[in-house]
Amino acid sequence: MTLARRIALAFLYACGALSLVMLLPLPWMPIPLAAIALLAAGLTIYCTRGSERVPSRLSPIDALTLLVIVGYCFYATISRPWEWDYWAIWGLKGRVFYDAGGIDWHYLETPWNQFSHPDYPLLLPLHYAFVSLLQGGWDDRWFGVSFILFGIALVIVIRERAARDLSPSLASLVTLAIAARSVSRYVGMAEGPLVAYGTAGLLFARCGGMTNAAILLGFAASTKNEGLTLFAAVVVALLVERRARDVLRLWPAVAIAAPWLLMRAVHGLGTDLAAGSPFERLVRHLGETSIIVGDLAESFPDGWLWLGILAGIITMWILGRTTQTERFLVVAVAAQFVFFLGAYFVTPHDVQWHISSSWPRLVRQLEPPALFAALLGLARYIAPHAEARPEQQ
Amino acid sequence: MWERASARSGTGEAGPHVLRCLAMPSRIVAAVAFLALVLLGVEPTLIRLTFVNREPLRKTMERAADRGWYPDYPLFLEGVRAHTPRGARIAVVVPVKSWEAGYDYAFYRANYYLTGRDILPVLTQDNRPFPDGVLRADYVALWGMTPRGGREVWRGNGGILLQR
Repeated sequence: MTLARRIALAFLYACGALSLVMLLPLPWMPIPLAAIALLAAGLTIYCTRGSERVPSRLSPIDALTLLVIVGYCFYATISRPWEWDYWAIWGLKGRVFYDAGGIDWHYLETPWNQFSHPDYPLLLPLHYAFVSLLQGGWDDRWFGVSFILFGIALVIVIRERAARDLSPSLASLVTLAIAARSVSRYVGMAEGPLVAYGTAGLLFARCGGMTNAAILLGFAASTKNEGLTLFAAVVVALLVERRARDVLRLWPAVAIAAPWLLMRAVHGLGTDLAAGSPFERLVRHLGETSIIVGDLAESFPDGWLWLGILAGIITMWILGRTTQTERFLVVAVAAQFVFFLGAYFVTPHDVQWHISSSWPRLVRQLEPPALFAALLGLARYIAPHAEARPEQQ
Repeated sequence: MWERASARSGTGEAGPHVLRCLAMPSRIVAAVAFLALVLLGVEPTLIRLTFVNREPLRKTMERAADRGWYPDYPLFLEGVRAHTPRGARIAVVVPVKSWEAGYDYAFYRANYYLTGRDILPVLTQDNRPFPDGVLRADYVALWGMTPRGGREVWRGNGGILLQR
């Protein structure tokens, strides 16, 4: 594993480990927390030393990817995070917890604060609180930097995952295509870390790197509820690929996600989708399927890109070059789509509003792994000597 | 079928020449599809952002969270924060009388700026008045309206903070 990817993983693991530590009912102090983050990063770099080295020769195309990242640096830091969900959910809870010096259960349990979705996992709010502890005060002007780092970490993982199977030029092209989809346009919201943890987890699971996959998927589940369904989607894909033993190797993901799930159950922080009678809503919404499908089609983002992904997947299937690794990604992405659709059929909210306010974001979460699957499959046909190399643990 | 056979045989070098010739068109199709997908994935806007004047975009994004309420309402809330203690119960009163037409924004935004305090609404989500919000409050943060009663604690940025 190259140093770049070890550092990328170290960043992802340090942020995740910090969020686990900050869940504990202990006083938050910046220096011990920073020490824990450094320790987690150092351990990651140490533990991944000496594992398989992949030639990581750069190609001129990588310069274009760098331009995409530089452009994103300007975008993410152009002002304070502006998204409604940042200051009404993710940033709000980070600020509440920072002010309280810990998780403010009173705030989460107050009925007036239901709008902040008290049941959502806390990795990102706790990350904001930690950054503010280091800054010595709450100032969200440069929170965009965290999103740049999450994006860069994912791009590095993608670049190296592609370089394992392809020539440097093809790997660079794959990375260039996915780079802009790996950095989140929703600055301040949990999509950034979710896409980084979720996609990296999928790419490790794809080649049997189950320890890293489990940890990354566990942190994805600690970031957003979609991370929980992504874990389920990965289990489905592994079972379809007859990799039942690998399902058991995902236990660290459960161990990482469990503390928050237990805490929110103890404090009665239910998720809105499960409130009331979901089955009744499902039956009612099934009768409105054509309307819901119409709304989904209307709000579907990046239509040409998805048409291209679909065409790419169909092309590689027709050409007979679908491999188990790409099939795994396609099944996982498809299963996650099914979970997304299921949520709209049981939603207690106005369906049209729910779709228009979340569907484009959800679809974009799946663009990096779907693009990776389609591009890798096609690249294998262009350069047929390329084969997916299994991960060395 | 032949194409598949050729592709599965690796580079196809072991197969007869005719198989390699037939494999070529499908490889070209794959290459075209690959490049098309790369082009679809690239986001030119991000690349352009490095080279253009970003000041207009910065100005737009600066006010994106608050739109028509920018800059006074957030500044007013910062003033309220500076003049209220932790744990204070603050009712938020603004001219908008409908939850979805703007009271939701005013209430949620106050939550963000006034963390450590209990923020109370004066309107329910189905647009019914909620006088308990004011009755239970220690302070009333009144923005864009004329005050009636209460002791003025601070005024600025189009609003007044009253103590009950």
